[in-house]
Amino acid sequence: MDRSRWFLLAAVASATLVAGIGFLLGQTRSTFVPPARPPSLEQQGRAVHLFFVSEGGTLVEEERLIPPRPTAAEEAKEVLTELIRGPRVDHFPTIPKGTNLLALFIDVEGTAYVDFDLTFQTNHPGGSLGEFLTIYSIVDTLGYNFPEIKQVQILMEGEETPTLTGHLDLRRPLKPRVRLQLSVT
Amino acid sequence: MRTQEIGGREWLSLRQVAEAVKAQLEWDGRHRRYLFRLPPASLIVTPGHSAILLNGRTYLLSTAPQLSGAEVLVPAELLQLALEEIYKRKRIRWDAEKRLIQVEERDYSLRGLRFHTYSDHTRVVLDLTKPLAFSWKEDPSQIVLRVKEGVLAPHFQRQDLSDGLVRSIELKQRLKGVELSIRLEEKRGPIKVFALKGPDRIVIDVFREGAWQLAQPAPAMEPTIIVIDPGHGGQDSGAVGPRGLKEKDVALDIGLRLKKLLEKRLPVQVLMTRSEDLFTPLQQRTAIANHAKANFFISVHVNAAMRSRTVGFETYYFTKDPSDSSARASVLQENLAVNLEGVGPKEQDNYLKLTVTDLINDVYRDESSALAELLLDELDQILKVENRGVKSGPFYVLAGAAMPAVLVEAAFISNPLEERKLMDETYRQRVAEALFEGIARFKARYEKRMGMTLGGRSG
Repeated sequence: MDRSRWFLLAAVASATLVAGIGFLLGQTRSTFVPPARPPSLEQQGRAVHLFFVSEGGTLVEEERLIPPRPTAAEEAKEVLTELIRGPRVDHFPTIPKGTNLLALFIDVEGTAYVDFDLTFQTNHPGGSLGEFLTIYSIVDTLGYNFPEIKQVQILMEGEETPTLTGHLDLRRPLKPRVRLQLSVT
Repeated sequence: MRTQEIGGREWLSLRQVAEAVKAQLEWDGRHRRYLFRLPPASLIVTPGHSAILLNGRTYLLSTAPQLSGAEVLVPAELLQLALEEIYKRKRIRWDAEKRLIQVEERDYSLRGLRFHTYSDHTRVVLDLTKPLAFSWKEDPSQIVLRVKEGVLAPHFQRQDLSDGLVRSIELKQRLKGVELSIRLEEKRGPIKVFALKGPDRIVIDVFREGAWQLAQPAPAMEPTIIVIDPGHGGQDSGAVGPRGLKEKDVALDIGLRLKKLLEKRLPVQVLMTRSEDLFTPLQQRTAIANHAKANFFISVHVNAAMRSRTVGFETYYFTKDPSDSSARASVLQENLAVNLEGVGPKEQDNYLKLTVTDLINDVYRDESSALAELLLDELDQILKVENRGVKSGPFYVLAGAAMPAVLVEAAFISNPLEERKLMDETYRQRVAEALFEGIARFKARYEKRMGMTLGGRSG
């Protein structure tokens, strides 16, 4: 076995060890280290459009590059992770700080199930407008970037929730609004 | 195979399921989930999470698998789902008593449960994917409906309704089918159960006492009933301002001021969905209004946004999708308006009635949007802050209101300036005055359009 093989083996072993320790430590929040610089346009990636809140209180798009993933669900997860991270320019975030995306899957009928932890609810400021912008930034971002997503069902810790903060009805999946219409409400 | 009944559900242990499908069970510690090895099929179950991955497809169980002692319990329908998938989508029936698995070409499923409270009846709808045999038994306190085959689609368990007719609705997945129990109030009229097509569904209508005898109520004799719904309450504070002012308190105060104004100046009856700091479920708020056959429903809120400078007021009415109402929808609405009076328990036009009542929100949409406009207009004149316009969307508290219904967001409590304004009693009074003016104008218009006096003042 040559050196590079050994090196690879060592790398795999240490990665497994790290993952194992991470698991033993339990469900502590995974420490994500953001890249020092935003990826340059030359780097490979898929351009996606995220919806954040404008100065005027409507949803507006911001373009990002996300690493390509083998499935739409994994890519959609990347997109929502970016949405949670928040806007780059003079826009406002739509998802409360500390929110964790637990799972995202797309069923055969094109319903995307998006599962958040309770922080999504407990850290949300509430209000019809606030709730509306939060929910539709998610629904529209997914609908806009993934033609296979026809509707979006929000879940909280794996369960259905009647509403986020007492306004929009989340018992049924929501349809993205006209896909290319940028200004809303 | 024995199932355990806990909390009204049937459970199997994961090991039982693994044995039944002859799979090897593995714990994937890294992802905290169980893998079933039964090539070529695959099944992944995560304790605490109701989603399972079966041959790459995601299914939602009616509830999340749970740890119980050393065992992982899963809802009983997992076995059926797993067998169906493994045996190439052929339909499977597991007979618990005979310990027999039958593989059949049968297609079934219950997709969901809906219900609506209307002024003279409560409708419960079970959505199916194909026609299914069912039977039911009724006694004074409940009706139990059995759908002979079928796996219950996820997330429907028990719902408290307490709308004066139906106390609660419960769905249980049995190994041999699905059981729907509807607990009823003793004082009620007849019950109708029937199946409809396109899409297939089973409908249960519970009528109010005397509903069949009622002709069109003589509107001139009835006072206008206005339901005021102060948002949030109790453990639900609603939005909280930077200085700690709570939406629930502001909404209640404005609501009570509005009630006072209405009762003093108009011949109306005002009902509050809450008149103290109490938690009131959203469903109950609309149910109160429907039960009282209210003429208008006003939900009073104050707004919040993550951008703290956001300022102003807005009003909302119900639409299924938040986009502006499409041309197609308004055509539909005109056609339906004529038929609305036909809502009643005549058997031959059941289908029509269902269409009508399913779209009841559409029927009230024009009125609701008109009321929303008037309220906005008055707020604009009296408050002189940013007018953010009339909007629409799938608002829970407005869904199913059988009357014009509007949600008012009077100011942004998340904005420090507006929070300070809301702390001032005179400002809250001005908001109430504006809402009063809007309601008064709407009532006058409404009565003129209906060609009658709802208030009975001219009587």
